[in-house]
Amino acid sequence: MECNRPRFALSPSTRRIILRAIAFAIAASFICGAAAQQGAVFGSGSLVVGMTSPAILPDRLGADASGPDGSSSAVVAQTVQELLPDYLRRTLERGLDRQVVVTGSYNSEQFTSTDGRPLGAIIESTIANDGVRGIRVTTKISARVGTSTVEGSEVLLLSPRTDYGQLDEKMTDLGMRTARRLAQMSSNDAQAVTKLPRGVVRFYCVRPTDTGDRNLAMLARRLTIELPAALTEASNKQGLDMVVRGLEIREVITLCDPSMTLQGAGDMTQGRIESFSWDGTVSSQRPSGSQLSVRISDPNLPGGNYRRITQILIKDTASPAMSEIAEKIVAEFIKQYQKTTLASDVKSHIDWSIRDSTNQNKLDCPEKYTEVPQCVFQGGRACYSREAIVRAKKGDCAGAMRLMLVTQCHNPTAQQSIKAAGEPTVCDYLKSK
Amino acid sequence: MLISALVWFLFCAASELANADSRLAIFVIEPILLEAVEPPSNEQSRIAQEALESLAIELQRLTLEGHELLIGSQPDAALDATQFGQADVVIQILPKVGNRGLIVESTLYDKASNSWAPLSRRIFALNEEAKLKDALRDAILPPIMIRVAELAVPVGRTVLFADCLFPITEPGSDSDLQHELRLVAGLFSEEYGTELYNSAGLEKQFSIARLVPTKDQKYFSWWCVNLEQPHLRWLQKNSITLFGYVYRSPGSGRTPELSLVIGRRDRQMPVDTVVINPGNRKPIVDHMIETIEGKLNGM
Repeated sequence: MECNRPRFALSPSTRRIILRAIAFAIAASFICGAAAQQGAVFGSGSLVVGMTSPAILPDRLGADASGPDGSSSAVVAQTVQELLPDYLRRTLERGLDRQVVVTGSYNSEQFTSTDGRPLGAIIESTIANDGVRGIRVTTKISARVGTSTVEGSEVLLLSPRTDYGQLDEKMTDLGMRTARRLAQMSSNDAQAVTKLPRGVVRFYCVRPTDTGDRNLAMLARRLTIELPAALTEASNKQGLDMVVRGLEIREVITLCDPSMTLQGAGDMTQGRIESFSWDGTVSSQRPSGSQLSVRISDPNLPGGNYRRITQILIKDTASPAMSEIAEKIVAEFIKQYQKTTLASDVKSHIDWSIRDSTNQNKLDCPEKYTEVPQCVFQGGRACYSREAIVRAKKGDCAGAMRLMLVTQCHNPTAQQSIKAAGEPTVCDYLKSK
Repeated sequence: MLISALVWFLFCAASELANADSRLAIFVIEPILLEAVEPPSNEQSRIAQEALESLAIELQRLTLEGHELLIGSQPDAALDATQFGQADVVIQILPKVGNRGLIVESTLYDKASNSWAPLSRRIFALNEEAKLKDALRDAILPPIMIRVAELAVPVGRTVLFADCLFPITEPGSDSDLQHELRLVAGLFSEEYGTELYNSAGLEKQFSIARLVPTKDQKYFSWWCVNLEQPHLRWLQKNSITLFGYVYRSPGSGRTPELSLVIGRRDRQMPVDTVVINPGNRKPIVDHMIETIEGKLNGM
């Protein structure tokens, strides 16, 4: 009796060798366990969170604590005090898709536990018993972003008559909101020199453009299922503080069906923690292969909700090289992101150089203006910047970058920011002038 | 009373079946505490009591790889100090009922580390009796099943769970197809798990724990269909789990396809997708084992 061979494994030995080689790096880090990035909210391993038992605050409103509702509030407050840390831990784990280890002993200045582990967050909760008016539960969330600490909070109001079914629902909701707020705060690093992407990327469906093409539908499904893990690896290789989460395979099967409308895809985002999302389409480009088109949806990006990241030709549609595809996507994504999100301080350094026409006597380091020496006498930095813009527009990005760095020779910090922004980004900005 | 009678029966049965190589896990369901400030009504007490008795029955049905189970309440003649002294794991379930509902806390004692650790603490409404029984089972049992298996792993090895192949049907698919996929997924789940369990290919590095050790469709329906999927959130960070999905291939009528995934708590790595022939499962199971061993061996 003959069984159906594996769909993507028609040449077993070759396929095995190729797949093993491609998957080796991913699998090795997977099995051995990636180094725990305990301090970062996004990543793998355990996330250590500083959390103490919530305090019950005295009634600040002077509400009447006597009578049935008043004493009921005290009972609810006490129950919340008992249960909240466990609910927060569980919902953080669910929201951030990783194990959360709670420590009650930590140094909030250093953002470490007393045994020296870096904290991903500190969550301090208070319970205000307002007697007959009910109970207010507040979670104050602190996270370390760059070198500074950012804070946020979430509030839950409970009636004195809340039963355990409602309490379970509401504390779960508070926990999810707290996790979402923490993710938001951690992905928004205002001090970052370059606005490289951070956070949780949700990878949604790759849909076939021709719903009647069975092979294309199979390829689309496989890309949807297998690309997220490869994208996370590719992001890590590029040093991004970012994790790509795919849909559960159950969702891929049920929700990425070509017959689903975009409205259906929108519904999938409900209740998920994500900083931004990717999805894609795949179309047949016979005889050369299939073309994957990936786009990003990020409310923080200018120019509309959806932007295309890249198009990639997949030659081997039976056994697509996931790692290679993922690396191309991530590289293009970084380029695009840098293009659209040049940090404001870099822009202001460049703009200042473009405006500053200080001449010879007051110009810093005139000896470095060797490529266009007349600029020392005729317009200084503004002259050199004009030349940089001309070079950028001609496609000489390296030359443009070199000139711009000279205009900031007096300011090593600015030079560093411009360098860190990257040549393509600076070049694109100069081209727009 | 019912719990005590059940315990005695189970104790006798379990003693006869005792296996010298297996570990001993004792479950203790403590008497229900009544909230002093807002005590439950008689009806609420009854609902809570019956739900816990139902939980005891569910515990009795559990099969934990390599474990002999004793289930009891305390104080209980069946569970004397000797048994506690011999137990590798003790799970204590502490219920408290009040006017607002039921709180159930579970804690676990591990003999090897000589320590107690909390497992879960959940609250439940008491208004719908049938729902409460299911909710209690779904919240309490899974973390226990996983944790007990994790603790049984010898030093130097990693636990490798052989978990469900979850059946998935597209929206609007007919009930015959759903039934068929569920049946196929159940058979494959048990067969690949058992094959892996008996395979020598991974035994140096991994301790294999089957989470679908039976073809019983009732168990499969609970563990692989009704519970939230996949079962990653109960895992400790070093544990590895295998699971997968059985579904219909797009545009291919009823031909099922199977995707296999290696998962840790915080990561999932799809490793293979194959078309399956439910009537000839052996070659597919062999292929799955070969793929799994290829991915995991020597890492």
